Amino acid sequence: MSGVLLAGLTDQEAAAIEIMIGMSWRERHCVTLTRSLSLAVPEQSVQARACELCVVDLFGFGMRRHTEAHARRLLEFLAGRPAVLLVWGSGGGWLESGLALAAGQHVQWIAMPYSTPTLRDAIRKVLEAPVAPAPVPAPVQPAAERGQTADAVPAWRRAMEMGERLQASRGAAAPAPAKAAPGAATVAAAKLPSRPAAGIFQSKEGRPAIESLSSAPPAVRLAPGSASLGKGALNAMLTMLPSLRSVPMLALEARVVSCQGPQLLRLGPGAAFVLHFQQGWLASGLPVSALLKLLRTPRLVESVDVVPLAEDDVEDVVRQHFNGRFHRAQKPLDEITWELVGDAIKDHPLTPQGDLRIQLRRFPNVTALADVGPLDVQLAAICARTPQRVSDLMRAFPGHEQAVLRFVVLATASGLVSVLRDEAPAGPAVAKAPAPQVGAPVAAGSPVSARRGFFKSLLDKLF
Amino acid sequence: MPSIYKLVFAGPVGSGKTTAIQTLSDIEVVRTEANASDEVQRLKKTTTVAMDYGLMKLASGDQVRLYGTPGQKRFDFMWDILTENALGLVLMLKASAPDPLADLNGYVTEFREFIDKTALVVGITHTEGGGWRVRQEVSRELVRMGLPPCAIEADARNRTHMGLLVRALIYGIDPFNGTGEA
Repeated sequence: MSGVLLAGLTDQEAAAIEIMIGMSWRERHCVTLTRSLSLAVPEQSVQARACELCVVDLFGFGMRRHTEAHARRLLEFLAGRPAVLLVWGSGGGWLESGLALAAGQHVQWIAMPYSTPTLRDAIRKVLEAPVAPAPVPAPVQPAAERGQTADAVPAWRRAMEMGERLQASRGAAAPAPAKAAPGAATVAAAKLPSRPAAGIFQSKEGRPAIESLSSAPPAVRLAPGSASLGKGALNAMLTMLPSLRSVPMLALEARVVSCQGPQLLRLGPGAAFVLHFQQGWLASGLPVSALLKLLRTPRLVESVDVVPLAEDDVEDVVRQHFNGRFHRAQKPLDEITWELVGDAIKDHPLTPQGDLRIQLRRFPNVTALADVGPLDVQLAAICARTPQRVSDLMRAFPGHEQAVLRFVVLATASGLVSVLRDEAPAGPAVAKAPAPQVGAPVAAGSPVSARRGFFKSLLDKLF
Repeated sequence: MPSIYKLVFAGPVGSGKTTAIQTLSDIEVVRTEANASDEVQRLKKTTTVAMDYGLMKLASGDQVRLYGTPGQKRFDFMWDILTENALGLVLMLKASAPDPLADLNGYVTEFREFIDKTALVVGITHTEGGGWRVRQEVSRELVRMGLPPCAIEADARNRTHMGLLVRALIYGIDPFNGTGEA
């Protein structure tokens, strides 16, 4: 395998060029001599001297401008090898002066900044030049210098190679992806697939088809007949959790949803909002925090006067109530509803009297919500991918049934989910059916176990 | 034995990929930027040539490499190689861009095979002045394309936001991770 010497470049550029060379010429490997702070010509290691082609940033050699001495030292460094030479600006005199090249030696000059295709073309031209000299015999290097050479290879590159080797050695023992069982089987689909042990620079043609790295079942398209907030989802949720009908905020929402179309909501003589739940916004002159504070008073909420608006009047009404502003007064209804309903049901025990099958049509905007936890993110990810029965979710998170139900309530009330029509027959949600398997038994030390440990470690790191 | 994993960040020029990686990385991000070409220099003076590279070191000894793909289409030759064996894709979209949905469609089309095998989460940045509308439209579009509607507004400079994005991605890959301990 023939080498390409990258010298005088910044770490970043060397990394990029190394990747590009790896992609374009798989048989080539790169040896990097990092740019020194003093911008001097570096000492060459055994591996560096063995390279057949050089890519050199002359600035990194302290040779931005051409002088006879610089030209002489550069030619000594190249030792007759072909090269792509990077110059700055107008060339610093290099392009005019040129180099006294050895017979059969070819160089290509590139002015910074350059594009990847330009560099690739230049390397190709040099490689395809008719005669290339044999590599210069490499003298024996002291041990200390060999160590320095190893350090010159970017750390990420060495780590990547190590990772690829590790993954390659693990890949054969990994289990095949689990098949989702019918019905509530999405809960059981938690086996982890094997990972291909492909090299990172494998060509597109030579690369096997991508294997699934996910333990999740394939995403399921939202059923066209599913019920959104305005088409029965809220009512279905309240049927499952009938005690919530007495919560003023949800009773108000049920009134609003039943009206369809845009509405003006009046809270006594002083405060008014316009909302359009089909379009997902609420217009208010108040900041969200003040709005939340105001609507946390149950009696106020119960006294809200709901006035339907014609579509054509909405903009005028909003401007009239909110100092002529329309777009600036609009706020995301899903976020506000999540916070308001979350506050309203905070101390309300949730006792299901049936079941629902739901699928997320929009993710909760978790970065903007105060009342959201890690379990909400997890449940959202689960329900975004495939329809889920509430009872299955509760069984999948034993000890967290109330948190699961709370998520279902908030996601439904916020218009984030669709309720699928084939609800299970009414009955106790915590059925006597066997609890769904969260995953197949995982042997300690197996790839599955390793992946699980990795995810846990990553989540711990993030929070 | 420690393992090494990859996460890929993609998105158009100026969507915050480099910043997002910087926010999550434990090392100074390796940035491969150069002067932008004509079509993007009015947006940004420099752009990523080959990739951005960051690293998260986990307590377990495992590492997560964070790769930012080039923002310019002319460097899309890097996309295949960066996604190989990666866990999933974080797609950054700029809400204030002329047509974020077109950006979404373009990237999802390019990465579709990879997304179908792994997971996708969309981070919507630059949301001042109505990013929620873009979030809603993006969610609808994802559903239309048969993908989970994992789209969240995010400030690429905010570690909590980026952490939530990655968390959503992880649960997209392994939905019931940790349910035993939850």
